[in-house]
Amino acid sequence: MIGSFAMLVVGAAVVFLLLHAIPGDAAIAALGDSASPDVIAAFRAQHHLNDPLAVQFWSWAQAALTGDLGQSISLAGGFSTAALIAGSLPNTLFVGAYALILAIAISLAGGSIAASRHGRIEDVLATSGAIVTISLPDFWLGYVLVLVFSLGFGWFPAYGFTRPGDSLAGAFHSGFLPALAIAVPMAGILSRMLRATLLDTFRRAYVVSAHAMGFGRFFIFWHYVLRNALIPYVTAIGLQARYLLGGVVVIERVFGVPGVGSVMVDAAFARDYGVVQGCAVVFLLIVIATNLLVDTICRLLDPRRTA
Amino acid sequence: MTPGRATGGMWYTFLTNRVAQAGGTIIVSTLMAILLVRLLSPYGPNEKDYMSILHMPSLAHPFGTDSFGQDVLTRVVYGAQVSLIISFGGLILGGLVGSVIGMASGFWGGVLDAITMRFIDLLYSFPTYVLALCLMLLLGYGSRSVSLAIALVYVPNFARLARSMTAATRTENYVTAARLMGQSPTRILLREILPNIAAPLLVQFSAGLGFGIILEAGLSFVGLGVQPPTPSLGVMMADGKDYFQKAPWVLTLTGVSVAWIILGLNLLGDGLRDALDPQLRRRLS
Amino acid sequence: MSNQTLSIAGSAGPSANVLQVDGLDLFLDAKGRRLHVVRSVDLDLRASEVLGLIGESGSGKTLTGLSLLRLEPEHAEITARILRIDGANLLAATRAELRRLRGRKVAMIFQDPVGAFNPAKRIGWHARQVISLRSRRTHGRATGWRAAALELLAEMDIPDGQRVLASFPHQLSGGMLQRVLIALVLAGEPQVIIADEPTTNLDNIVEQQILRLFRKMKRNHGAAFIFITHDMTVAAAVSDRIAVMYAGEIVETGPTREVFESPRHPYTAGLIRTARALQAGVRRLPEIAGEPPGLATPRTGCAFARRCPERMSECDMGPIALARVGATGQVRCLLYRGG
Repeated sequence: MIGSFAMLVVGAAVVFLLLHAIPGDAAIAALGDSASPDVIAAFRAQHHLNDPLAVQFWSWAQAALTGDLGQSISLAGGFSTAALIAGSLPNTLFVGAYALILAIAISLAGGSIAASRHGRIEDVLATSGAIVTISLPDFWLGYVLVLVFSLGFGWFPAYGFTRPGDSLAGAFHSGFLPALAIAVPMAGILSRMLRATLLDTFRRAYVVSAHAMGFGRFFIFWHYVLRNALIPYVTAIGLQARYLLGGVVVIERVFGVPGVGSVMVDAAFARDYGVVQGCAVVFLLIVIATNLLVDTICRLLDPRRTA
Repeated sequence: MTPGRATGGMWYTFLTNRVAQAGGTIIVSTLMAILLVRLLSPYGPNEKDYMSILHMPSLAHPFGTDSFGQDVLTRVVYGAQVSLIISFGGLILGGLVGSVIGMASGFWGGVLDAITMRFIDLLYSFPTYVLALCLMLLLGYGSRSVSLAIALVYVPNFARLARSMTAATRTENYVTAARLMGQSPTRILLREILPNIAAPLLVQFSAGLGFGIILEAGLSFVGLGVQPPTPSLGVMMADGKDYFQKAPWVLTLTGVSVAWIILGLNLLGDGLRDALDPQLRRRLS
Repeated sequence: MSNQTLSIAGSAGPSANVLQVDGLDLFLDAKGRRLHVVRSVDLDLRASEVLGLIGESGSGKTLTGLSLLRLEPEHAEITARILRIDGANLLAATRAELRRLRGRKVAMIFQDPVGAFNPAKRIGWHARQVISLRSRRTHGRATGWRAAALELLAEMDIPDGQRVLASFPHQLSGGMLQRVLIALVLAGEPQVIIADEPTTNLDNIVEQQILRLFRKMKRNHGAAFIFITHDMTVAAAVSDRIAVMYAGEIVETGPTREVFESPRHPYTAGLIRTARALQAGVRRLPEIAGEPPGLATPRTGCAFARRCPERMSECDMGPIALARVGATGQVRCLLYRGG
């Protein structure tokens, strides 16, 4: 917990330093080449761009702790970064969680079928399916899904996203294709991993022992095999967090989901470093929180670590 | 056990592994196709023909033409080369830096290990594209920056792998023997440990090569990576998405080509891992 | 129940065999090669009889044991003329029939008691599942599993059963887990129990305690045992009869006392000499020189010939049949041709 917090602070500092090391003047980047020296000077003073880096970081971090991530310099209205992120974060979290649930559902089914039908046609199909899906770029898959399910069948909207706050059903409907595009390659990775773990668990002494007791196949698969394969599986999900959220950044652009990823990419185009920095730290926070959660779940699942 | 002989057995298993053969076939046939198209294609990668804009796939243009009337197949072939080089460069750099950090960390342990690995964990906690995007802002857009971004994304993967493998190898008899004979740590790392951990690093490399292509494509796709007119696969897909509804073949076929190459790389990596697996297990047990 | 089984044991005769194995072969598929791991093994077991199955690792004794529950590995194939437990034909049984036989007619106790328990579940969970599985089949619903579990544990000399039931497997010692496993196995009141090196991983004092439990089980429950071990002294302590396996074959069987006092097969003789020396604390152990043949090596004649001090030229000529020796013994050695 303390380690995670320290990691977040160091991570924020790294992002801060990285973005402040960018050559060129943030003020000129924001105001354009034609801005007069006076305006630039005023801008610099207003945004404390003349202070030493350490002082800038300190005041930024202090403000950040109170939820103030500074103002956006690119958007004319001068939106606060915090407001931009607060408005977009639920969408990102929704799509991310949606994708995760789909990936878990697909991989649990695929991995279990492949392992319990080891060496048979179902295994061959699931295993080849997995390696093909791992090879698909997620954003491209997004367009292919649009081509088939939106433009072809007309089942889902091709573009745009209903905020979960406005309509939960709408969010599930409009978020399905983006979530699926992220989920499919991830499901490939997870089901391969699950299959290997299950096959390994099948050979464990306690499974043979359970068979010798006369328990049924389904009972043994559920309580002995799957239950014990769960810990490495959940750990693997934690390791995928950076890829999943990375995928979210690009997929949000493909489907026009107004999430943190979209905000970040827009800010990057506008060279609005304050917003980029805020978004990066929020993404870091999500991954760190996910890992904390994964760690807690693993601890609960493994009696050797709880008791 | 002499490391060299064990590796020889591994290469034999690798070459006779069906998965590896499938991957090899894909990669070799793709390389041959690239060569053939470069030699035989009547079009250049940036050769515009405004008389044949957005043509459907045909005999003259097997993958169709794009909005400038450029031949998509020719561009895919050139783009694949660009993307592969970018990804390859990134992985070489990331692999080198990550492996050095990981080996040093695993070999010496202690405070150095604790601090470096926390930093590596931090790096691993940034979503891939977020890390890449920040670096692109720092370095400016373009092929070289994309390579560096791929390297940065892959440093923690290699560092973690190299560290755990080195830590496991450190206590092996032949390493202890080398130490007792008074060999320098650098020499031990290079002569005794590296040959024994090279294979899993290679597996990571081949898997990373595929993902590097996806990362390049994704960055260029949102416009923050390789910049046109350089025909990287991502740039072409970004272009194709603009008229996706009118001419879906540009984006679709470019993507199929990307997936095809990555599939080949993944199969190769799988074959390599299969060949390595029994040995890995023997060493870890 | 136990009295009934005991009375059957009293009426000794061919019909009282709870286990009949005739010509059991087991082949393993390893990378396209077919290894003949268990070679035409015959075993017969009367109720409440204890058979010590002795052999070194790789002799096929564990795979033989697993075959008797039809739990051979996935890539293994078994064939036999007869494979029956209490009248049930294991070769023809469906998967569901096998499941009903396991634990009720034939049960197995494993070498590693720690590994035999589901690490994610408490001992109480194991006990409840086993007891309700048994009672569903005999008396319908599972009621009062806890009382039944405590009773079973108490019988295995576990006084603080409540604590044991509340523990996870990793919190208990190997010896304790082995007692629990035996208790759970007894809940099914199986006719045949296969114990695969049940004391090998335990230290000496615990081993003696577990062996005492086995003798008690034999007395009170009347189950027949196959006690798989590589340790001659353990086998001598518990078994009525002994079968010695070497490289997949049974090379000698006979009553324990007879085999110990006058071993016929040179391999058995070597094993007993080593065991005696161990007990006497001799410094230089008499060892059997050489190693057993690899599974892939083609075999003509006696598998032990290369290591045998009494090797004759005929030993390599062809397969050697088991020959009767003494009242009930059998030996696979040309020295005893014609009894």
